Amino acid sequence: MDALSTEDRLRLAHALAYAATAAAAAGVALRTPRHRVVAVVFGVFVIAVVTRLALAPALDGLDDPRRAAPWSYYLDHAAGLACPLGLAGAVWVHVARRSRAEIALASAAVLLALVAYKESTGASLVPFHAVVWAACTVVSSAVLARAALAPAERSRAPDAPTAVLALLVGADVVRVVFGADGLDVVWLDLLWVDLAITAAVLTGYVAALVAASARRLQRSARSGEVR
Amino acid sequence: MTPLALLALISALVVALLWAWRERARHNARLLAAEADARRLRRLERAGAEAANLLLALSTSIDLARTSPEDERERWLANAEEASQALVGLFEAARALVAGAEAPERWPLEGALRLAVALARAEGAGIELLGRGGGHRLAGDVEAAVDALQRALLALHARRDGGAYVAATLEAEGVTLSVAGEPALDLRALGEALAPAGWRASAARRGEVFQVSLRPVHPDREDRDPEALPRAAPGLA
Repeated sequence: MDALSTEDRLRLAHALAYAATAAAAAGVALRTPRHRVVAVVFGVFVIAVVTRLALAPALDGLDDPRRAAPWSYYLDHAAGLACPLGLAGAVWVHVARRSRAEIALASAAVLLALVAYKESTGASLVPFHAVVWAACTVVSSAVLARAALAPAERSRAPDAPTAVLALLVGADVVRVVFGADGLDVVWLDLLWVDLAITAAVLTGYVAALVAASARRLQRSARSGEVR
Repeated sequence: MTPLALLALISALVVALLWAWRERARHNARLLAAEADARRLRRLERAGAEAANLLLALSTSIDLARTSPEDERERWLANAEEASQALVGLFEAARALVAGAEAPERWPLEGALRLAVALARAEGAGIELLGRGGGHRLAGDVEAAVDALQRALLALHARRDGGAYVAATLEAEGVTLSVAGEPALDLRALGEALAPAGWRASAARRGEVFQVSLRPVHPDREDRDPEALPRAAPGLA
């Protein structure tokens, strides 16, 4: 653990928090299937963070990682984009009720554009990430706003997964706002932002699981009394 | 402003917007349900008016079939069967309409409508008796149709201009009915019991047929006692 930087430690904490949230959401989804979308989103976050942590030692020591290890290099960037794309996809599928195929095609197009952008210009991909992140946040916010302002015939009250997705999009708004000032300055702060919102969501899911267990215990106690 | 402070601000904003979104959706759902019920009510009112006409045609045909010579009897029975089939179709449509209603039990004056239902069941009993006696079986499931009529009248009764009005055809004056497990009902006694509460019950004999009509004394009177029916016929209200 001593070899890990502060950022890596924070990322490890992220992975653990994401994994715990995904597990808690999956537990709730066993009883209420519409919560699967939250489990999937946090599952994608876990995979992305773990992938980046796993690739970091190999890539950090290279002078030109794109030439030396192109697959690892692009996989690292794809993992970085998986979070905004995964969240936007979840909002697209769960709130806008659109097909998964659309978001899969859009994600593939973004990743191909990433490779084409890098191969053709050789420029840094940091601005590309910022643009994708901002675009995903704008799309997600627009989808949420459209659902909230839908005409009376099509309006539906937001469910708990929608609330979780909206909070995650809110966290991304913070990321986009501060990302515009320069990622390096506030990068660690933004990781704390992610951790804070994940902790809030995890707390909600654990509370839901505890409440469900308490209800189950009460029911079994009552049925025991009847017997 | 630090990222965490902005996060707190945005999270509070998101929660407030989600709350406003939920309230708006609930309000919209209530409005839509009320509009849908109003549409159903209007369609049921039309169905109810049509049913009243068909009931009149049916009872007249039955009446004429009983009193006509043998060679004309078939024609009146055919007329009665045609009206009966139309009624059954109408009642089924009404049943489908009311099945989707949000809260039909909240529609007012249910007690008076249950009386109308009882009268309609008397009509059904008349059809069945005629069918057996004349060697004919009129089309349709009378009991199911009457159930549907109950729903249709539940909407129809809300008309402030007409109130509940059903003409009942019975075998003889003073008949006491026991239909579908409900308590026995003396229609004439019930009509007399309801009269002081703002309803006017009238009876008339046409040949062998006895007709009972029920109308509000003053259709717009607001102080009509809604509890009169429960008191007069606890099993119906």
